[in-house]
Amino acid sequence: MPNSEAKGSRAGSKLIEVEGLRVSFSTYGGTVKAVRGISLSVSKGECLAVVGESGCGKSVTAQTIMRIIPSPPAAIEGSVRLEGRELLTLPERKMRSLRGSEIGMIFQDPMTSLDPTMPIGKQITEGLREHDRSVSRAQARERAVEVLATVGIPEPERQLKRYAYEFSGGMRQRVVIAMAVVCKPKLLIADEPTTALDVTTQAQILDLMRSLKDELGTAVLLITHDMGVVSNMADRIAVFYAGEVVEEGRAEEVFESPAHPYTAALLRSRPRLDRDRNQCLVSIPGSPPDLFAPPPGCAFAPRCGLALEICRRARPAGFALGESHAASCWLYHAKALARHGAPSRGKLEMEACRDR
Amino acid sequence: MTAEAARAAAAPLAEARDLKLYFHLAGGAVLKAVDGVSLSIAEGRTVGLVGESGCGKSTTGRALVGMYEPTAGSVLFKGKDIGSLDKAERGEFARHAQMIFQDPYSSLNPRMTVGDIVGEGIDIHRLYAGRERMERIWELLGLVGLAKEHANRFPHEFSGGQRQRIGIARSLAVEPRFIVCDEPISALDVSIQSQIVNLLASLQARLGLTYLFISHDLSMVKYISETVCVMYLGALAETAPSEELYERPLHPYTQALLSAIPIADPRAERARQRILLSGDVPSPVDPPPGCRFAPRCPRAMGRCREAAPELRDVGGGHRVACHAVG
Amino acid sequence: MKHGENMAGALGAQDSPLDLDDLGEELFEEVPRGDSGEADRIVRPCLTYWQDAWLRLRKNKIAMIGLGLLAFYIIMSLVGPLMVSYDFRAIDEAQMDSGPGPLHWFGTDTLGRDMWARVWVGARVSLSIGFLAASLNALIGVCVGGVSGYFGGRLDMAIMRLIDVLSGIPSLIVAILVMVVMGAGIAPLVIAMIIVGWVGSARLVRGQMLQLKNQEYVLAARKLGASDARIIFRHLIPNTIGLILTNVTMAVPYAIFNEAFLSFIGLGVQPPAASWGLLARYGAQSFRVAPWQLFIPAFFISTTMLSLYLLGDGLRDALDPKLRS
Repeated sequence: MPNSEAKGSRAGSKLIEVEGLRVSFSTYGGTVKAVRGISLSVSKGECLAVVGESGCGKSVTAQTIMRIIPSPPAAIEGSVRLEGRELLTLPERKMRSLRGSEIGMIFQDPMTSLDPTMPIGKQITEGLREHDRSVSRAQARERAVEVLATVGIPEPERQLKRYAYEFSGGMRQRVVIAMAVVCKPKLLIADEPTTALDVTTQAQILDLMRSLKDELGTAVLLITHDMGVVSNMADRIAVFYAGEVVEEGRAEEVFESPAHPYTAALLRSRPRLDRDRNQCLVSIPGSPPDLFAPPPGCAFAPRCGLALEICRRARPAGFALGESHAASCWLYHAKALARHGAPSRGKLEMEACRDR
Repeated sequence: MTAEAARAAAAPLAEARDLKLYFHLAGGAVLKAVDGVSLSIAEGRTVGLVGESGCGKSTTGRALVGMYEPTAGSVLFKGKDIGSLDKAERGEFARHAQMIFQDPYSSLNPRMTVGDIVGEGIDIHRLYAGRERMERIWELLGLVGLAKEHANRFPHEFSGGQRQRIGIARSLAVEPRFIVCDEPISALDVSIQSQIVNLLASLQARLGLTYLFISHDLSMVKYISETVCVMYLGALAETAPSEELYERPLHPYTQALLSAIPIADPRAERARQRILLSGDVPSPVDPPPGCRFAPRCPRAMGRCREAAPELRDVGGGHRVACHAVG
Repeated sequence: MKHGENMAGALGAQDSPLDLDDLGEELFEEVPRGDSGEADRIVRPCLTYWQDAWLRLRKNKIAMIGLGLLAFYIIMSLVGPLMVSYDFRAIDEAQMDSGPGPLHWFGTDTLGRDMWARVWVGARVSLSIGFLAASLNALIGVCVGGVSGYFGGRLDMAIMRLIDVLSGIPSLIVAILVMVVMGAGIAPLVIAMIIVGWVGSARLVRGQMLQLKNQEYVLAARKLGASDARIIFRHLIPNTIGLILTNVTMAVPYAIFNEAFLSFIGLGVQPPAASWGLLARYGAQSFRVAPWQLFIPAFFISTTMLSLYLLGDGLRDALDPKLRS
């Protein structure tokens, strides 16, 4: 079991640091504030899971790190640093050489990540030779066969000539993973890598990703809405809601003692396979806020059963709950704690939504 | 009580008997979407139908509400074969068996108001008119947790969860007895899924509905259903009461499926032993003879590739189709 | 372990107007459980499909320019000839081939007829033929394409083969044949244009029907017991109208051009009526002497077509249901 404290000690082994990131898009209907000030970090060899529902800004964050969001029309503020180097101001040429070689990305739909008109072998070798001109064709081909074998594609030599449509969903995703790791990147960003796959295929892919991470020492930024997938892979978790990070901590901490009412509700809104039919499912009434006009206070307040007066007026800062655990919630302000005490798990779950 | 009524009272509300649905594709290939499925749903109960892509669960569901005609086998409603109903009975069946669809974004006509969408069934069957019609529509909206004002609005103004609720209200308008829920929550966010599931459960309690809940999400199916049927490539692999299926899965596919589902608990999750299947779910077109699961099965024997196993009773409402069991 | 310590940097910046170092006690009161309906309330005002489309169209400046220009031309076609004292047919031998000036704002043609009046009378003819032909084409196309797409099967195949055959025939040959049979004039012209012209919108509507009839809301309506007629009129057609309207708008310039072309080669509008095509015909004959006689009708033909295309583009975006916010 990975010891995230040894690996992820805050001292100096941070691979990616995001600080104060804000992303807005101007559209027909107004400005969408998709990301409203998030900060997170991924250490070397660690897996950080970014969890949230649709519209919370997790994909936009990942795409901003990769600089694949065109910057007008999007307005991007803040800082993204890879091993100390600022990425947001890097010229596109340099960013291109980073993508693929230092940062690899896996998207949700393998069919759109693979070029349908090019054999997969060529797609892999092209990526390799783009980043390292000294590699010969023969060497690149060998390396491609190697990496296809690593991701579990049988008879990799023969598969080099095949096209994407000839593979099934799970196999295609393996090819995408192969392309992403062929240059041995330091960071792998996986945006909902298994959402489009059947559950038995998902298990295979997660298994593969975990073993690649252990073998290559790659850090992983895993974006997902599925808490099950998170508990399988993540060392640390950041919970997103309406463009902000509402809770952050080690996986065990967040699952066993969720601090933010949204996290607690999210954990209780899916039935657990190993619990009986009498488990109660928490449902959060209403919907996430409209990001054209986000509320002035805490974005979760309208749906929160534990809301305080201040929750509607001001956005909460992050409050530390431990060395690595923090939550963006007024309930953990000194005055709230003095007045109401720390919210118990039971209270958080049962009351995290109004009138159940 | 007449003989017919007695028969209807004793029979399950909806039933499929050796149901087969074959589709002929261009080029002569045959897609055996459903290949001999028998299941029954008792009144007031929820049966879950679970499986991965291409297993035929949606097709089965649609056949059970009469949207597809069986290639072979039969679908029964209240004990009577729906293929042999006369016009009036057919109309009654069409009302009493309804469906809730998967995609909240394409299951509502974007050009109709919510009120008209919900009231469509009322209009078609002329159940109410004028003021009464409006009140019935408001009542239906209230049943699913929406407000009267929402009746004048258009679907695009609502979130996915709200749209799904509108779809539920629409199917309730004709006072159905049996509802097939075809992946009703797959397209929704996690925290909204539980809203809809809780709503379906409370509607069942209030209105005495019977559900066939189709999904690829076994955790949700196990939670909401009394009985679970597992399908693989057009055939039933196993069926049992939900708890029993979880505690004593007998079919190798069910075992692999259960072990593949991640549990939201890091310690439990990492301590698990996984059964990983090789390869992906194959296509249901022109399947090989014998057991459909044999190519991927860790326990396949010679016999498995020759003859497809029958669904056999192993006691306690538990039935398995596997040569290696019992 | 420091509970309550404010880690302002770690989880995000804040921009509240309250003084964070001195927060009053009352701010930490629990909010009493109010109506949960607030979470479900819809904030934006209700707009019908057409209202929403109009608002979106208005924001598209280029489309509005097209619309404005078109509206201007239509108004001028009605009012323009009344602004001068000349009749568009009046021959004035003293003023033959005179250039644009204070007497004749657009000059005169070879027979001394006032170009301004002729242009605007011609506009009436060209525009109305264009709109008429495009609308008739759309009407026929909707009926044929709708039936074909909805019912499918052999009927669909037969209609599609018919469409294939008709598409292969050059429309000019058809027009000439019709003129030969019926003589030249406006009615034969319109007939010639619609005999083959409906094919485009039929294909378009058929494609839309094929796509729509498998939408889940159509399946749902069928499951509720809706008849074919109800499905077609309440579900399919309302969702196709936007497409049809855009199609008509884009077909008008093509029809205007066709009329201009056929009149130019002598097969369309005949004198003494005037149309832009006819004006261009005469203008071309005296091009060396009086170039404005060709340029002016050509200018109006081109700008009308352009404005319709711009408007059509804008309409396509404005009416697309997927782009609704």
